[in-house]
Amino acid sequence: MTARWVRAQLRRRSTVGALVALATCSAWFAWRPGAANGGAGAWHGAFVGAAVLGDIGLLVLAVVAGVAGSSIGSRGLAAYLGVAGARPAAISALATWCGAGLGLAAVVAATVGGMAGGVARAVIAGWSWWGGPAAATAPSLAVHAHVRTILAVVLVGALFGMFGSLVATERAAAGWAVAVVVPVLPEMSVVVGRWPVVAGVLSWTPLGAVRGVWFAEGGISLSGYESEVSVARSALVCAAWMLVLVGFARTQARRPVRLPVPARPPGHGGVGSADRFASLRTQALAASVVVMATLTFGAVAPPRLQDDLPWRWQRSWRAASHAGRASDQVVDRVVERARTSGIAGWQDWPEISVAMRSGPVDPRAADALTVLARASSVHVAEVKEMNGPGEVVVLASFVPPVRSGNLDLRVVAVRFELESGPDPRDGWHVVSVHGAVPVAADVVAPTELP
Amino acid sequence: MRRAPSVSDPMWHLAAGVAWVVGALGGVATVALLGDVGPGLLGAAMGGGVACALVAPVVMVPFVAVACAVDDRTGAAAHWHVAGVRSRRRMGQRAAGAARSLAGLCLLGAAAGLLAGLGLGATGPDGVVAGLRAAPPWPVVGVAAAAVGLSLVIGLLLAAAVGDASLAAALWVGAGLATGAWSTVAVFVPALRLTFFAMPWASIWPFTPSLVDAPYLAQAISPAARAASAVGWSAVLVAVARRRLRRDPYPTPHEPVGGR
Repeated sequence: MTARWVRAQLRRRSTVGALVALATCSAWFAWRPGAANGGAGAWHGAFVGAAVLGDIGLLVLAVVAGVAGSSIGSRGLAAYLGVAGARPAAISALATWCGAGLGLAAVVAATVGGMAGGVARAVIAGWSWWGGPAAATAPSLAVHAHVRTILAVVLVGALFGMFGSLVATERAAAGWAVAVVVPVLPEMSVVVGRWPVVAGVLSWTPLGAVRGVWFAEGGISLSGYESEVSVARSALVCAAWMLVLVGFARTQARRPVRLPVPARPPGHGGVGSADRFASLRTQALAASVVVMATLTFGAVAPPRLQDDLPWRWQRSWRAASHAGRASDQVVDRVVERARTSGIAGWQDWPEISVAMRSGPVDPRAADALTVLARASSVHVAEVKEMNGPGEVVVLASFVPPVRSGNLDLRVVAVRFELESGPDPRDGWHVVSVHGAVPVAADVVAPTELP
Repeated sequence: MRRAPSVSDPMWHLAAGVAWVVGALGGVATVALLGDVGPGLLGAAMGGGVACALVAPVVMVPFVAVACAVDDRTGAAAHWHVAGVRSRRRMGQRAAGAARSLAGLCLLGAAAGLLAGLGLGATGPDGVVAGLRAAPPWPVVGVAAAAVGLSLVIGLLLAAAVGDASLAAALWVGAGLATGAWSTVAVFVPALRLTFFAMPWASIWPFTPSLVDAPYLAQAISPAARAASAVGWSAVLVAVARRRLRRDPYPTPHEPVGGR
């Protein structure tokens, strides 16, 4: 019966589509250009492709297994099996084994896709088995890790199959599967990683525990998040969740069997006022939750996202830029002043920092400013050319070239370092000047040297 | 056939959820994504609606395709044909229904943007302002309106050419993935960059070097190349759609359905 139900699920268009998508992802993962792994060919592709199952493949598997588990009840099979004398535990077991079977199918799809991608990579790299000398390091083909992956995937499939059997409709099962899986996907670490508390809580969830056993991690992949959760604790949490789910499934299975009934014909009966009120109440509750969630999102998320923006989009930089005191604008004024008025008294210019004004005169800074003052033309780096807000490079060109030692200097670079005050509107001030460093120069032949 | 059933289709509930999330993000995009000053309430609403419209060619096309192919999916196409409604008119009506739904989704996005902007203004340093502060510029609003029209055209053509809602949606997503894969391969084979404009998503490819730093995805496509790609793919879809609509063995108005 289980094999027949699994075969029926595998014939569904949605399941086939999901498994094909999974195989395609695995092929891409095993083949993708610029991949850090140097492996190629069918053998290694199978290992690499299966890694997708710990990533986006987990979502695919959870949805497929959850829907399959739910379909036993929602499509009426459970009711008919009950009438035929099947015990409730057997129906729960059917959903669980069906999920496990789909987990195995997911492993096969990922492996086949990975093998195809590996072969494609080998062909593109000129039948090189390892994808080129730059990536010739043999990857660790840890067979035991692969076996652990297969077992974990089958376990996840079984869990979601059982989980799906507790949900009334297939759509709800798919929605729950997405809601449970998405928070623990590695891609979500950008969001979840902001709150280690949340990551800690996730390690206690069923999927977090499975991931903890699977990858020997804290239940969620977070860059820079070192978890001290042991594999043993994850295994215990996982086992506890399985017991809870089995107990819940048995409780559900003891409920009286309900045969599928035809839908109420239109125009007969109708919804009572109490039902209408309950429906309205539910809708009002859902709407208020959505409104509150959106208001909270607006209050919490934008400032946090703003902190992670590139420096040139930070509000402090924009404020300084609007006030004409961003670092590139300050350097622009310093260079302009040096070229029009000379460098006499440069330490007293308002663009120079207080520390530089009050300290001893830096002769190298004076030399660099002199170079800029005498250059034929200068180019102050634009914002998009800057490595950071506190460093501005100025290129000075000389036509004709200036001889220095055995070099005819055509272009030299002067680097300004700046610091911002506590108030962004105060702007940036120069704290040091370095250079000039040759950028473009011609070596003078010894015969031409004096 | 005055009322298109696509608006009440449960599929649009999912689209409404997507529009709400996109609208909420669009309402506070000036702060969250651009680091600029917080929007006024009207500006946030406009930002939410415009964000929904801008993502329509990428996100909403499958929904439009499903709405336009609903008669083929349910088998009602033949019945409309028997009733004397021509395919072109039937699909036009479905597209009109989808357009109304898209407009509703943009309004939903505007409401989400307004609420998110209210939350931001109430707690942020910029305060709550009612006006159009930090609203999208009018040229962007025009581009957003064009994006909605484009998504309608693409969805309608896909539905007419394929005739199967799921396949149309899968084709659209697959075409996007293929275009992205082509872009990444072109990094390693520069000659392929010249052929990128021939990919199905080239005309609406949103990743340009000035917008994103990702070298695998960023492609510099000239407006002329985008236009050529759009015209070429539209012509292909129109040709396939005309052929399919002509070939389908619908009964003629004088022929009983399913009988001899």
